[in-house]
Amino acid sequence: MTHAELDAWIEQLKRCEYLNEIEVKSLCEQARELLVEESNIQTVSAPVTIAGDIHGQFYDLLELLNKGGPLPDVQYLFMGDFVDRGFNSVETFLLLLTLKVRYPHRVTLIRGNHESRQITQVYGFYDECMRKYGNANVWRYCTEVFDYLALGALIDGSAFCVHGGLSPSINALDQIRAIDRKQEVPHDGAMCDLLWSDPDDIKGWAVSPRGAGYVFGGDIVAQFNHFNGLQLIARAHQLVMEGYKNMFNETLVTVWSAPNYCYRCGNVAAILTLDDKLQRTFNVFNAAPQDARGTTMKRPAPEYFL
Amino acid sequence: MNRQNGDAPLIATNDDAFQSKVSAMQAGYFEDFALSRMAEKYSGLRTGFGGFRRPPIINRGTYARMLLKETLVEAFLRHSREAGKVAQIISLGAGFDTHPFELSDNAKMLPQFHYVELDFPQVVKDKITLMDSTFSGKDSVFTACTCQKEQSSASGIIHRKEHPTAENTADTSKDQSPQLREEASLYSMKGVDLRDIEELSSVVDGLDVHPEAPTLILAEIVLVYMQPQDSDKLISFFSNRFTGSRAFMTIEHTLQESEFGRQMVQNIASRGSPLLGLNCYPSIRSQEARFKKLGWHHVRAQSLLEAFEKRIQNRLALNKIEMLDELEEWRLIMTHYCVVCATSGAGGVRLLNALDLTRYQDVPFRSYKNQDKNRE
Repeated sequence: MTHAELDAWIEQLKRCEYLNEIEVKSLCEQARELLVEESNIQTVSAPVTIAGDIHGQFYDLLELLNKGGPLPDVQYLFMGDFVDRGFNSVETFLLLLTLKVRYPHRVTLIRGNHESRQITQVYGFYDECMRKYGNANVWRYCTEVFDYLALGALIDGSAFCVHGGLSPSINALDQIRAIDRKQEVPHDGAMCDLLWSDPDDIKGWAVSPRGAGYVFGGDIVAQFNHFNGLQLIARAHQLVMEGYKNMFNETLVTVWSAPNYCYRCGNVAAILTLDDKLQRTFNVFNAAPQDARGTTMKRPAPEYFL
Repeated sequence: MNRQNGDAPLIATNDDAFQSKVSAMQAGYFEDFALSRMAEKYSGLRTGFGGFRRPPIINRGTYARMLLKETLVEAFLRHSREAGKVAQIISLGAGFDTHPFELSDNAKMLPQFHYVELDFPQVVKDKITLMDSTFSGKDSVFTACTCQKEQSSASGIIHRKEHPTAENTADTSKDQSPQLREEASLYSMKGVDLRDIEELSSVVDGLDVHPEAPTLILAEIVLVYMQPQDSDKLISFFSNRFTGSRAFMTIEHTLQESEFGRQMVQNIASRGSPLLGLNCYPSIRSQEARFKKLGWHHVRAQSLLEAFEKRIQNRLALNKIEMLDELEEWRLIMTHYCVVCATSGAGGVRLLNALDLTRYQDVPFRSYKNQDKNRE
């Protein structure tokens, strides 16, 4: 496809108008051809702007791109959970994927635990595809792309980015590189843990209350960073009301990029920029203002216990 | 303002709660014969509704809310056995609740009771429509005695099933199906505007309830939709109207002066059912003080999260029913609701102790249905 054609898709998607089924099929094929060449841990050079969970909050993604600056001037790394929960998972994922195809070396997408067939059938992406296309083809094309997404990224050899966290079966980054990632997210094991685990103020490892992955403490992070020559683990996966949260003496940071998560939580969001010396700057932002959101569709109200 | 139309969003909160219960049931949290029968008929009552399915966080929270309310009802009923009188439950804004019918499924554990449900006349009419012929008939747990839909009023008998014991199931010649026992419990349902204390008072006078009998008042996410002066009147009305061992149990939102709380107020107001009581009673402590001020001497108030974690120790097992990925949001939403138990009258302290959820830790949901496994 020509750049002009891709640019036209980007313009269309930025108006929150999704592509048709044939276009999605073509986009997903092109994306897969790119992603299959990527390593499980994609190598990235700073400066780069890192984003956490988006969860189908399309207008907030536009807000994020405004805050972060235009592509290709700014390089972006998205740490997964593009879909589910929000109202516009289809437009959100298609826009990110089109940007990836248009600027393959300026956009890195890594996999979150929601980039999964099983989870998207529970949390909304599948239903949204059925509603918008009347069949499951688009969902199938997208979930096939999910299987090719990298599991992590390494910035200048010293900042490791992953959606969830660490795994008790992984000591060295090379062990991650050896995983056969082209599959549905398994229920346990290293690949599952990377996408599901959470840090906490504990020692060692603990069972995760999420039912997948583990909880790991500062000692585990210190060991892992030391062994792999890392300064920082950047991860997403957990809602942080302030948009980001440093832990363990700033050796780990959580970045959360879905403001007012689920249109319910009242939180702010953040992106993290690492400059060419890996100095960190957090850019905190609010949900897109009401008038920037599409008003054509009647939105279901966020749910509570009534 | 036309009250009828103005109340439509409030009436819709019952529909939302009902749909969430059906969703939680379909997700596998519990079984409920009456609820599944009502769900089958529901699409005839509300054509074009959006379906029952809710996200996991709503399913689990709906289960939590049901579990806590029903545990407290069960605790109250067990505690009331010793009084030797028919225990009374008055459920305000009961909506399409099916717990009274589930309570039929007991034999020895619970005393006879009279379960009264009060709600908007329109809700009562709709409930009669959903129940119509559903629960009647030979094998039914419920027999309607009077059913006056136009008067938004119904009453009947909740039969008490007795399951065969291990002893007599060994004898295969015997019929092993549950036996209906002679003694039955009573059920009444009546339409009333809870904001009109005089109307409420005369409705309660017309019920077959006794001031000195053990009485539990339930208000499950009801008071918060009322002006605080109206809900305050209601709370003190019941503390004066009953003189025996009595308890008031309520679940409602708390603001907690947080961003989540502010967003919640805004979102729920946009449905047309603003949380009118929240500014006056924004916190758990303010709820505690409120009940003490209004004639309930002993009060325990806690967040829905704290109450749920007391009640269920093995929460990881819930992931086998449905995985919950949204733990941070779960903590947020569950700390923005509170459960208040208040008691009064002779033995009020003992009654409040009986309503301690830790006593029921990991007892199965609706445990009275399986009496053999019950702890005393």
